Order: sequence, then structure tokens, then C-alpha cells
Amino acid sequence: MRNEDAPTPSLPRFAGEGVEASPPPVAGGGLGWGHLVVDSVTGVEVALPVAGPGARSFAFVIDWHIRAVLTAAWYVIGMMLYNQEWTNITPPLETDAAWFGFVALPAAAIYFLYHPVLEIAMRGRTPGKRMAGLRLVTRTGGMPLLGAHVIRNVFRLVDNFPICYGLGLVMTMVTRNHVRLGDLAAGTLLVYDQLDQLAQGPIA
Amino acid sequence: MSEASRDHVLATALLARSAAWQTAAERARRLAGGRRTEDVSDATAMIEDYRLLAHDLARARRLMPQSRARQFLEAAYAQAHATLYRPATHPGYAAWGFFRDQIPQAVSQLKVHILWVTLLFVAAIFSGYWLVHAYPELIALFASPALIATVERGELWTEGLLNVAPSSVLSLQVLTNNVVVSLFAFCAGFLFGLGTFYMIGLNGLMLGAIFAFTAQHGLDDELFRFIVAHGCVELSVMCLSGAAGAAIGEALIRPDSPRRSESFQRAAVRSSKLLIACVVLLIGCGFIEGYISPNPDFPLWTRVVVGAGYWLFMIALLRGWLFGRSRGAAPVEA
Repeated sequence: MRNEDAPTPSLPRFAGEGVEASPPPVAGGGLGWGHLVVDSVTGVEVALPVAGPGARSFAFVIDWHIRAVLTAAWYVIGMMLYNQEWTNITPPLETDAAWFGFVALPAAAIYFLYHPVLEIAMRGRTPGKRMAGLRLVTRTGGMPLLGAHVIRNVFRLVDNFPICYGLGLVMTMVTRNHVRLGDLAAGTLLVYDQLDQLAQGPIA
Repeated sequence: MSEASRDHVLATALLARSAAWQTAAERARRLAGGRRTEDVSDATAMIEDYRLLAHDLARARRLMPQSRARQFLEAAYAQAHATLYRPATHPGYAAWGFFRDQIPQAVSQLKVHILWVTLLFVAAIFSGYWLVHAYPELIALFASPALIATVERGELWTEGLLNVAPSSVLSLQVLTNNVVVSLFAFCAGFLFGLGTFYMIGLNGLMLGAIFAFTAQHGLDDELFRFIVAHGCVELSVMCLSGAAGAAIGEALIRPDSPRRSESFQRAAVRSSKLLIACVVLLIGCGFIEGYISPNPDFPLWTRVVVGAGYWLFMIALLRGWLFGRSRGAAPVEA
């Protein structure tokens, strides 16, 4: 099956740059639609199946629930300790520095820093992406550098426009590699990585 | 021997190597992690693995394209590729180099934008001042009725700040607010730079108008006292983040690469560096605005020294001098 969307490469390509979504010249390869194909010194192309809006949303929903639960857990435990009562989690009428610094701020930090911190610490495989079988790669199939992670996460603010990642979702539907604005800016994309699942069963 | 039976024999021989693939996949995954390996033979075995996987994948693509073995080899080969071509990085050194070289580089690449946005901001301040000075009733366009009523009573809205919230809470609130505003100024630039134009223009007009309005009620000295300590850097950061956004807008209008998306990516990389410097600077602004600005015990000269000193700190950060870049160093090549 050949990729209908593949553009004719009329523009000069830079050395080492990934050739996006063009069908690999493999006899009977059948790599299917939507692969990122990267040249390698071995002469055998690396073919990465690009994740679409569905898989991306699935990973995001898992991540969102994890961070929502973590945030709520910190808030509830923090309020119990702050009130020094195991059944009382009502916030104080007048907020003071202790409440702000011990309960509200860490909870907000968990919520807003979940993606940037985990993506960097887990090399582009947050728990949600892991469960959805996805991995973050650069357009040359490599592992993104720190700068790319930072840019990708700063742009979440834009992708979140106007609400619930509306812009980001539309972008993943219309761009060739199904990426949101942040990925476009950082030069990254999400690909399927089924290595762990496949390694569990018999290969042959 | 027919071709079909030969392929069958080849496939069987290929599958006999599945244990080696497993080992290779496991090693590629392990070495992709951040932990450093001391075992050199383990690392060099990775190179052999890569060739083994490439060879066997090419065979599998031809002999058994629909098999699970091929799927596994595709995934293992992709992981081995990523692991093998992983750039050597050292987080501490990368952070140091970021502040020493990359921020000055971004500033020098964006200096035209920074200049124009600053000029726009200054021009807007003067226009706002002139507008309200000449037509005092126009202040209703720029300020809320509550603020107007407060100033007409002869008070500044900043006076009771510390009674409402302690300095620590105020600092964090101000920091959050400033970060949101500067990110907004940045993002607004994506609309082909127009968002930045309107936002910087409007903020300049407001600042000028409010100064003119407080001057009519003899409060402009008070307002200056409040603003000077944190305002120098805060307003500069506004201009910087606006310029960073405008640069992305310009990259979309006049792409410097064959494709707009590529041009957008390059501009985003440049601008994000400046934006990170802005966020770092805003942390200091938040503390000054929470602890020094609303505290009436600090005399004017302390405030001016803090404001000017922090502004010089900003210049040193943006030029990389803070992190050991020599003053005469040639600008970093783009």
C-alpha cells in the first residue's frame, strides 16, 4: 500500500533529515500508511509508524487522569495536615502563606509540571504514552534533546487554546505527521512503540 | 529446490536468531535510559546489535512481511537507531551553555524585533500620556471605574496591598500573573505578529494614560515610587516576550526556509530561548513586587538602586556575562 499523501520531494533535503511519510522502497514491505522513514548507514530504513489523533488523545487522557488524581491526593492530604483533622478538608476562609505554600502551590505544581518533568525524566515516555504504546522521537527518529522537550511543553499553552487542547487536536488532524503545534515547533512526533508488548509473547 | 521452499528454509534460519533479537532489544532499551554505563563491551555490543537487527529486518521484510517477528524487528531496530544516535549530553553543562551562549545568541538574532517592539511600547506610553493629558475624560477608556474612584479620593490602589495578602502570597500571585501575561504576549505574536502589536500598544497606552491621570491628582510620584523597583525589568520582559512572539509571526509571514513549518520551527527554537530567560527574570520581579514595592519603609533611593541594579542584572544575563562570556566576545554565529 503506497502513501497517497506522499509529496514529491522537489525541495533540497538536508543531510540527516528524515524523509517524512514517503513509502519505503521495500519489496513486499507493506509498511502501510503513515510511516516516518529515516535513512540509516546500514541501508535498511528505519520505519516508524506515526501515531494519529486517536492514540495521542488516548495517551493524553491517561496522563490527565494520573495527574488529576495526584493533584487531588496532595490537596486532600495537605488539607488534612493543615487543618490537623482527618475529616476536615475545607479550605481556610482567609488564606495564609502556609496554606498557599504547603497546599495550593504544590498541588498546582503537580498539575502543571507533570508533563514537562515526566517527559524529560522518562525520555518522552510518560505513563500515558507507555500505556498507549507511544514514544516521542525527533523527525530523524532519534531521542529528543532537553531543549525540544522544553519547547514542546511551553507550547502546550498555545495548543490548549481555546479549551481542552482544541487547537492541538485540530492540528493533529490536519498535519501530515499528526502533530500539535508544540511538536511542530520542537521538531518532534509521537510514534507507536510496541516493543515491550511484542517482547512478552513468542516472536517466531 | 524451488523458490518457495528456499524462502521457507531461509525464514526458519532467520527465526532461529530470535533470542539474539531479544537480547539486542533489551540492551537498546536499557542503554536509552539516562543512566551511564561503565561497561564498554556492553556499549560496543550495541553497534553489532544494530547491524544484526538491520540485516535480519531486511530479510524479514522480504520473507515474512506480515509476521510478528517482523513487527518485533521493526520496533527493536527503531529503538536501537534512537539509542545509537543519541547525542552525548551532560545536563549540567547543557544548562550552563544555554545561559552562556544560547541566550546571547537568541538575543542577537532577535535584536531588530526587540528594538522595534520597545520603540512601539515607548511610543504608546507617550501617546497614552498625551491623550489623557489633553483629554482627561479619556481615562475611562483605560482604567476601571473602581481605580478612577480610588485615585480621585487621593489614594493609590497599591497602598493597602500588604494588608490584603502577605508578601510571600503577593510575590507568587504577581509571578503567576506576570508569567501568564508574558506567555500571552508571546503567543499573541503567532497571529503574524499582529497580536503583539495590539497587546504591546495597548499596554503602553494604559501605562501612559494612568501616569497622566495620577499626575492630574498629584499622585504620579507615589506611582513612580511603587513601580520603579520591579517595573524596569518587568516592562522590559514584556517587550522581550512580545519581540519573541513577533519573530515567530514574522517567520510565518516571510519564511526563511522552503517551507513555512520549517521556518516556524526555527523561529520557535530561537524565541523559546528568550522566553525562558524572561521567566527566570520574572521570578526576581515577583519577589521585588511582593517584598519591596508595597512596603512603605523603603526610601525612594533604595527602590531606584534595586530597580536599576536588577535591570543591569537582566542585561548581564541576556549578554551571557553572568555565566562567563567575555564582554568583547564575538556574537555567536546563528
